[in-house]
Amino acid sequence: MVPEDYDVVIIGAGPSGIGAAAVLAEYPLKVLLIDENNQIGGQLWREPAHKPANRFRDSQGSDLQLDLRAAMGTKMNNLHIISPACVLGVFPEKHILLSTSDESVKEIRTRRIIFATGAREKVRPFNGWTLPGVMTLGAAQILLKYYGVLASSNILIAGAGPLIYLLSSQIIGAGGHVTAVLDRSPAITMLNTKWLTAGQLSKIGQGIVALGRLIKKRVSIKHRMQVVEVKDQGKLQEVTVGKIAPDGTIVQGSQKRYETQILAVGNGFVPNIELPQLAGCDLAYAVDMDCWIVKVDSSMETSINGIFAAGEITGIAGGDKALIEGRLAALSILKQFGKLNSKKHRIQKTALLRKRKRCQLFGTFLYRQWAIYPGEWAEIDDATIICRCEDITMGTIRDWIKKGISSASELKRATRCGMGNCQGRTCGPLIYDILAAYSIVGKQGPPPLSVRTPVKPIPLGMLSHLSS
Amino acid sequence: MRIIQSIKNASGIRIDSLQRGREIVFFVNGRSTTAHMGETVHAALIAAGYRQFRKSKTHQPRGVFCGMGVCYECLVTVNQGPVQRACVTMVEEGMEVEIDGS
Repeated sequence: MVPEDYDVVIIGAGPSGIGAAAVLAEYPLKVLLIDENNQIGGQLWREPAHKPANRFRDSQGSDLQLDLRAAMGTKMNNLHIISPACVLGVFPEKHILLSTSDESVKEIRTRRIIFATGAREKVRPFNGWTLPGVMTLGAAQILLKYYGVLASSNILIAGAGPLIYLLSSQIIGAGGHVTAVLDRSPAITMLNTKWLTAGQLSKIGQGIVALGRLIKKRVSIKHRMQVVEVKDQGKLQEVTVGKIAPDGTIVQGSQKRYETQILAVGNGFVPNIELPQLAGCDLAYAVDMDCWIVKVDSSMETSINGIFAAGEITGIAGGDKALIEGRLAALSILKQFGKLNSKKHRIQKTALLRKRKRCQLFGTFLYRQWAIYPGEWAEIDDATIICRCEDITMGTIRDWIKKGISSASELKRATRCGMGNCQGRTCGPLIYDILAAYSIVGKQGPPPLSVRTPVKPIPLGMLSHLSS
Repeated sequence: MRIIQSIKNASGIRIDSLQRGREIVFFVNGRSTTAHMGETVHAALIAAGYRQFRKSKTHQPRGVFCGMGVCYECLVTVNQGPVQRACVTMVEEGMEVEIDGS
């Protein structure tokens, strides 16, 4: 099989990947944009299936419009899009192994790579979080926004961050009923001035619209509440919640019970670092965000020459930062290819870096809202599942930590946690938190779980199509 | 806003504000079920009132969790082939989906 050759391959077609593609499409370069989903746009910009997304805009609305299909049509078709397709492996010499929807695996060679793999949701575990009536905020939002399906007529919303209010407002707008909104953060953070300093005025506007809808519908909003247990009672879920003390423990006697059909819950996001990690890019532990990120310089270049990272994987801060970083990465590549003169490059880069800084402030603010306190892990009972693929419980993990295990990879070998189908994507970030909360080495000690090709499970037969 | 479809005992509800693809029929454990072109298998199953899609290693009920292809909790058997993530698989006319919902 002859590998296909490209100048630039962008992995992930959310705001950062599309931002990069739109800049690069202006130049005579052979660019490939790959996305795992049926529609491009990522979780933020994706459109309902019946109207494939062509145009994208940032949160300010008017500042920018990207018309990718038009770019493809007018620029000698040098921008190629493959979706859905799954990147199974990336190698430091910039070879990419790709599995496409026609069930074939192909090899791609490229001069530059931009990782724009985005983020996934994190959920603070509780007894019953594996029940079919419990889903992430994102899952409920995707069902509603892209498929027009309310997960149920009654939905209880719990967790932290702007998404709990946004989703509640969307559910009400669609005619659904929000049982209650349980916000882990105190009421005061909603008025935090960081929103202003971070230049996120449009987000405040969205927040006011969402809150207005909730107030109009008299939806109960409770602060500092955490779900402690969910019990499946047939059509209804019985949800027990408790008040969070400053150290993360649950205040005695503060328990309250709700009945709902679906519980939608989320505690923020963690970066999808697996592919850059596999390619050998240096990672860093972001202490202010409690997650592993990909290390980049101000050009968005990783520790490997010619491999770039942009968006949530360099630090969670939302779509605006992702878009800026995608454009930054593209500018750097244009400069390296000699397509952009130094002065033009410098002016554009400086402006983007300034905007990026404001967005990063917003990210820091978000993290403060959704941080899981070290003291919370002691509250989670032994029976609670942590690794959902292998059904490994908190009790088992605690036992092994008591026996002296201090790294995620040791824990994986001892218990099989992180070894199932999701390959540690769901439990990995939780395990890093648990190890940090219980161990003396602290947060930055043990490295994350290792990643191997193929990074997502595929039928073995598919690999046999690859001939050397 | 009017709720256009609410199957008996169903938890999922299709709302009318979204323009949909044409109506199709697929099969859930042999039972014919309506869906729309452009829907994923998970959206079609939730809208049809299914919640439990499979059982875990220790036989615990599981269903949609992340909804974006990460967690592998919504695995279902499609057309007697290997299991697939319902949230990233598009539903098709005549598709046979097997779930372990008991």
